[in-house]
Amino acid sequence: MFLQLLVGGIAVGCIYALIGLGYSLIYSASGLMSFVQGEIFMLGAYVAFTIYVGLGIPFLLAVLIAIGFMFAFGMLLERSMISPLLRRGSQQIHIVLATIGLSIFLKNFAMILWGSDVKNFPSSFGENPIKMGPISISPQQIAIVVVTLACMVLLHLFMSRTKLGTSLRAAAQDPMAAGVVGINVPLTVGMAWALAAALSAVAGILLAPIYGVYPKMGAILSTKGFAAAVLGGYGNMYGAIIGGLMFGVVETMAAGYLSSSFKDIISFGVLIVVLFVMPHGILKVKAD
Amino acid sequence: MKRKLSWFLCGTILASLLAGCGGGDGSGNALAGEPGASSSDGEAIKIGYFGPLTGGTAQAGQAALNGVQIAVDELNAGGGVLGRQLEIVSYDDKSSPEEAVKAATKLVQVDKVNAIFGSLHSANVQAAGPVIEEAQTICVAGGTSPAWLEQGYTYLFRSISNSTVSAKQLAKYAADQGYKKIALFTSNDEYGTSGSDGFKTECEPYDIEFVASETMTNGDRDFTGQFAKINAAAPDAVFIWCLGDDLGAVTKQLRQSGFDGPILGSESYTLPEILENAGAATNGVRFAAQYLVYENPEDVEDDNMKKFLEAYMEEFGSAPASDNAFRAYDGVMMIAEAMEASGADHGPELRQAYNDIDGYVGLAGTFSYKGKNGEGIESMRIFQIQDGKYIEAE
Repeated sequence: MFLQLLVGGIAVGCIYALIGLGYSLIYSASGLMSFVQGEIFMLGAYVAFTIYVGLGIPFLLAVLIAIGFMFAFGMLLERSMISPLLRRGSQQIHIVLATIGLSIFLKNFAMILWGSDVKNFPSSFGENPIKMGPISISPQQIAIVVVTLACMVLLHLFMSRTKLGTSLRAAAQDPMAAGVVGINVPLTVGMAWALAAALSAVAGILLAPIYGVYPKMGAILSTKGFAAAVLGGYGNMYGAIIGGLMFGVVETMAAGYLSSSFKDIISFGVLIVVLFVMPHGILKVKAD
Repeated sequence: MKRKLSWFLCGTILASLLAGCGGGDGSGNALAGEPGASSSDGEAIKIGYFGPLTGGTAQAGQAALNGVQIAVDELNAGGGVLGRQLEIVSYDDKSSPEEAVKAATKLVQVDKVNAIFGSLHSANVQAAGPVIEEAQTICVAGGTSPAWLEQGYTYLFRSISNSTVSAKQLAKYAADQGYKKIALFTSNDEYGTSGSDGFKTECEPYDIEFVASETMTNGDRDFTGQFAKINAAAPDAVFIWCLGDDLGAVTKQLRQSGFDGPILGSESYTLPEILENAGAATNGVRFAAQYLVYENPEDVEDDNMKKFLEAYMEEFGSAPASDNAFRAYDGVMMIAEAMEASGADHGPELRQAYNDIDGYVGLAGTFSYKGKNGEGIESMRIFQIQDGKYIEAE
């Protein structure tokens, strides 16, 4: 049972990590907190559902279109809402409020557009679980782990090996100095929001075949993704990954060995204890 | 500073406006059964309705309200009740007990309705109970938990069997099939707890052992830990008792976790939405129910049901999304029956007449309320899901 729980916990943790990464990216690039990540996750799933199931476009293409769409959405969000607010002198708290407002708007928007019932998103990897000795894994869980790992490796390579990634890190460290050496700071900040949106959309599409697609699907996940980011060290990319995996495993173990009713109490309890011992999270915040 | 403050205010106002959009408060909505039809004798008889019209169980609530509408239309077309036309006053209880109390209070104190159908959720009926009892207004409800009729209320009635009947049939079925080890998976609310307690009690006479007992919170979507534990216990069958909006995801994940044995479930499996969401995962689900939710009136043998479905489809364009439409229709028709029998349109006399109903044949079967504290019917059948279709289990 331990192995089964570990595998299940890692799969859930991957989703938390992807959403957590979004929070951390935004914070490290702009020093702001966004509370609309859960709804972007939901919207990503709905857009992919509409293109794949509704229009009948092949799965991979549908997913790429949906991710591209959400990437553009993230960029647009930063350019048309966050950046103008900042230019007019908004403080952190106003951005928090604005993103909360947007999240409520998007939830109700989805309810009107797609209805409040749960939509079935068929898994492209088959529904039958694969049995390996004592444990059984669903193909969707394998897809979650593989895709998440791929996203993380790609993100790491992007950040450390490409010019755009390096300028993103530079802008995060010191926007003014970065601007002086000729880096287009507004573009890199918009890029961070766009990447965060794309990652959340990936998580949404990965989870849709398991959860189904419905307007409130982001609400539960956004809290846990946020917790993952805080646990790992808010603003640290690698921290969000560690935090997400840890949160997923602890939660699943708690449900399996202790009591399923106390699942959330235990996992959030661990969060509080870790923060008490390490106030900055597991990894120290640095612009990475 | 002033500038900052004004921005902060703008933000707050915007946020609260947006939050306001989220709810959509339960504004009263009086629908005349037949627009323009004037009552021949005095005022129209008001039938109150409260149930979920937004949120996760909105489909079930809307189906129930539609059922009320069909009953009212049918009665009005036949000359009304006591020579008076009927009209509906409906409120959204948003699946929340708190909203249910508000809705029931409004119905009995402001709208002064003659009788009520509502709600579908047992917890909501329980919460609204004192208000309804005090107003001496009869309320027929569709919730299946036995609890709210065990509180001694005299104005509450149920237009479907309670969940212990379903539990009794399922326990007998499990014993007949030779299941010895059963794992329980239930929601940690009133519905799930009473469902699993009832099943455990009914299993006592048989040689059945409970090898796991796991719970979930309504709305949660990750059951990895619970299902690992259930699979480790290697049960012959899994008993699932959760609300309809969770059931699709629960069934699907249980199958994905590797359990391919029989599932004994709640009557919420009659929701066509679950077949659609969980697909092949529902193969091998058994449940006890009063009636099925038919997609096509042609499939129906019962004449009452056929007539109802034809009227329903003509009015709303499709078959009911939930069996709550049947519960509501039966409830309103029996309220009318009691009014005609006693000549009373409200209060203790109407309550007595409703309680005296004996042998009324509705969509669910034959109702008899006398001496049963609000319960009217005690029979059910076992159905099985096979390849997306309901068949009667042998």
